[in-house]
Amino acid sequence: MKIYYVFILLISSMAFSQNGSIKGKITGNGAAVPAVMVSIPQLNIIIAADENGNYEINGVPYGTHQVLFDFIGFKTEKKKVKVDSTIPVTLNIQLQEDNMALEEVVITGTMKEISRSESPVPVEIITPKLFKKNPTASLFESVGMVNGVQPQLNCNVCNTGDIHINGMEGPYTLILIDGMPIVSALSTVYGLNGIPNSMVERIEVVKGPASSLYGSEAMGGIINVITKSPYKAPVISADSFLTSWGELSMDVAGKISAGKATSLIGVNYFNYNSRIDNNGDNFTDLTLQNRVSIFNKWNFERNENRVASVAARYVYEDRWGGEMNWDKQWRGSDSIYGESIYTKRAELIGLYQLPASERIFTQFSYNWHDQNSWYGNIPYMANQHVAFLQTYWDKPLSDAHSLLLGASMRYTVYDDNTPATASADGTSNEPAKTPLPGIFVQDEWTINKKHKLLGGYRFDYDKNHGAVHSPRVAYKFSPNTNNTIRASFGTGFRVVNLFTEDHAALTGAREVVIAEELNPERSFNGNLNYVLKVPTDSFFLGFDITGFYSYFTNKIVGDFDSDPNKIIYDNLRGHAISQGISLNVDATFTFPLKILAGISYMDVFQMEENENGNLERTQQLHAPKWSGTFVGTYQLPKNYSMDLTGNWYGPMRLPILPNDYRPEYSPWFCIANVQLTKKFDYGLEFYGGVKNIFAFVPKDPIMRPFDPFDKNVDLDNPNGYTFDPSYNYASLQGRRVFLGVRYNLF
Amino acid sequence: MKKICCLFLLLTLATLYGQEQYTVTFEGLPEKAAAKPKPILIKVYTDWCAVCKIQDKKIENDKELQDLLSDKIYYLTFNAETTKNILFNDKEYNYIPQGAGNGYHELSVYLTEGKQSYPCWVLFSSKYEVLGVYNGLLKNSQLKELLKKQ
Repeated sequence: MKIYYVFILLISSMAFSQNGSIKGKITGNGAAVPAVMVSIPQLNIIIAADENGNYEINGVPYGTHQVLFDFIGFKTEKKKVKVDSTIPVTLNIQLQEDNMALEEVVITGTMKEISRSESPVPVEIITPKLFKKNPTASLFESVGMVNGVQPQLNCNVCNTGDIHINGMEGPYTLILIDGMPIVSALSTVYGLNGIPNSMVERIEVVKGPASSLYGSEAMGGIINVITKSPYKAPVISADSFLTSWGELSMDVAGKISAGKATSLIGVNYFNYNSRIDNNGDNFTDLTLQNRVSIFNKWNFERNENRVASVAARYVYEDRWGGEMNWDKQWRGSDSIYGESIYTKRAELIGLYQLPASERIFTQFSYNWHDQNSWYGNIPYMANQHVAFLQTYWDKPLSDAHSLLLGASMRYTVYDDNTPATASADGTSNEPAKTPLPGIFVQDEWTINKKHKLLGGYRFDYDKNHGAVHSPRVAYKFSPNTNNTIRASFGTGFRVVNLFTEDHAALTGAREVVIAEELNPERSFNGNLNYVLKVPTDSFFLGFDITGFYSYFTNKIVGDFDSDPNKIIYDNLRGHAISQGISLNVDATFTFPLKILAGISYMDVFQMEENENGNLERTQQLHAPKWSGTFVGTYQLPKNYSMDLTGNWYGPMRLPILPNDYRPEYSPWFCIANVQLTKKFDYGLEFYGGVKNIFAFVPKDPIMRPFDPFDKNVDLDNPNGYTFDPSYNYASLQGRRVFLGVRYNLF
Repeated sequence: MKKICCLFLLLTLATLYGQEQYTVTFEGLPEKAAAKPKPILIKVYTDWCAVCKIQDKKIENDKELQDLLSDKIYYLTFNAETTKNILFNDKEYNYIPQGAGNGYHELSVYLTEGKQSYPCWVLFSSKYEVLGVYNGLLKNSQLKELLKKQ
């Protein structure tokens, strides 16, 4: 029956329809464009224009039709044409040049957010593209978008934070700039603030120790910030956003060329100056900040493409948090509580390739960090200099072997106002000086296309520990381009570090006692990684699964309690373990959706000797067993795009006081953000969205906020609670709207 | 014995298939182009580009398209992040290292005009004039249309 109708329809349409034709000439850029595809999609007509740009479509039924003109490198042109007679309709078309069609959503791969390096060592590469999906004012917050990396605030008043990798605390994470240890010890807490986005080319993350190449502090993982080469940078770039909380972030950069030199200069400014107290504890929810950072990098063109670059960065920050009625005049007083920190920081980094036929590079860096702070009425004044010099020889021995041979020297001077850096009698100052020379060797052996083996070894000499050996082995097997297996074993170490903000609580003269020969803090890690790519002709799936096991020995913590006249440093009897599994999935489709999701399961705990000499297990603070990240991006027509980003965390153990009424474990929670971006052709981009759409904020962040100086602890306080701002598992910032603009001129 | 033969045949086929008969290498191009001038189509890709892998699958699954690629033009693929020097149109393009794992390839800058958007298609005439550049995934039908006109 149905078929019958179809027949009738066909016959009637044949009988009644009359045909006309359309013809014309296609030009673009003032010349004829040959071989343009001309189509009328509704009629299933596709023809190609001739060599001179002329076309003619015959047999077009009467009516109004949409004609499409398509050519690679030009915008698709759409025209409505009315055909109502047998006389050919003339339609001449001028095509506009474009690489990205305006009307259609083009599926491309641009700067992958997260990828893996070619190396047998499992290195994750993150581009700033990921961070643009949820713009933040500092790299510290941004790195939280990487699965297994957790920026953790430790103090609800001053917003001190550190970066946890696979659950291990900040001092175990080494932060490098261009492969050099620049952000260490004193600067770890605020060091990632004030790195302008415009200077970041990419970030490399290694989860697990990497001391064989980077030396001390690379125990739990490394974050290596690779600065942008001025050649690749836009001529002018600017990025600025404002949130409904009044946070203002500005990032401006430009480049100039002078002869054989190219320079990139960037300024980053962040300001937050509103006193907001949504949880009503009379304390600022977010630390007020005023920060400026200037970055300048020079690259020099040399013979035979040899490399030479030098860069400098300066950061100044003034931050404070505390009681709502605090003011600068109360700095250091015991009447109104405030934590106020002034930071000044300068860095110089350089790379120079020796003018020899062999590839020999010299790298140097120097940084100076000055912190002037008051935590209530307790001062903490600290100053740190780190100088670093390294020379390495990159020697391809044959097609199969690539040898790296190097020597480095790191010299740290640390001084503060606490007894930790005073002479034994407490009358004069004695800054801690730590020279740390080291040599390293690494060979990457490409056995064949499928097998790669990397071996590395480093030797450091420390005055407290003597010789420190750090070996590493990594193996990569890729049977084909879609499967890669990596197995690696690495070690890490950290030389004894006097820096800890706990010192600030100490008064009086104390003798620093090193009870026995201190062993360095060490870590051992085994890592198994499998990367599977599943390409089909309509979607792509990528899986990246890693199992890890790390064993940490000998955490050295100063003992302040045993003797009030001493600080005793001693080896610890016990160890810590971080073990788990993480999975990253990314999906790309032929329609404009991209999904990235990560999930981590880990168990991080410490085994410490108790009074009876037995090992006792304690769960690591701030290390949730389950955590995850997600990013979804949908490209909409007319250059709009939507991003949904977020993090979720399972329960994590928190620092509580004896008999605390607050739960020891945090609840499950999710911080999700959504953003809409509109791009214009000439490099302008507007974006806006909502952060923390579920408006999640933690409860009871500060114990006894009404008595910050512990003046009334004996009054009506049966549990003996004291003021404590360290119960933190998420930012106190609730839902907020943000709006920003970006401009890039290449 | 039969089984082994079949297996062997399959393996040979697989290797032949794996070599992608429709692609031409940069090394092989000058000789071929001198013998028989044809337009040149270069697909610029990177190892991490998922869209490029979808594109490859689309081509792998379409015999007609493969025939067009080998008949009508010289089809080359170029990894934008390679560090090998490449000779193209009698000019040598090098990788320019910039330290700390940073650098760029001159050919990728030339082909993509600095846009990091993949796959990037660049069509040259047989005289090495750029006819068009396109960034993004192409449908097989679009590619075929383009090739049929060459």
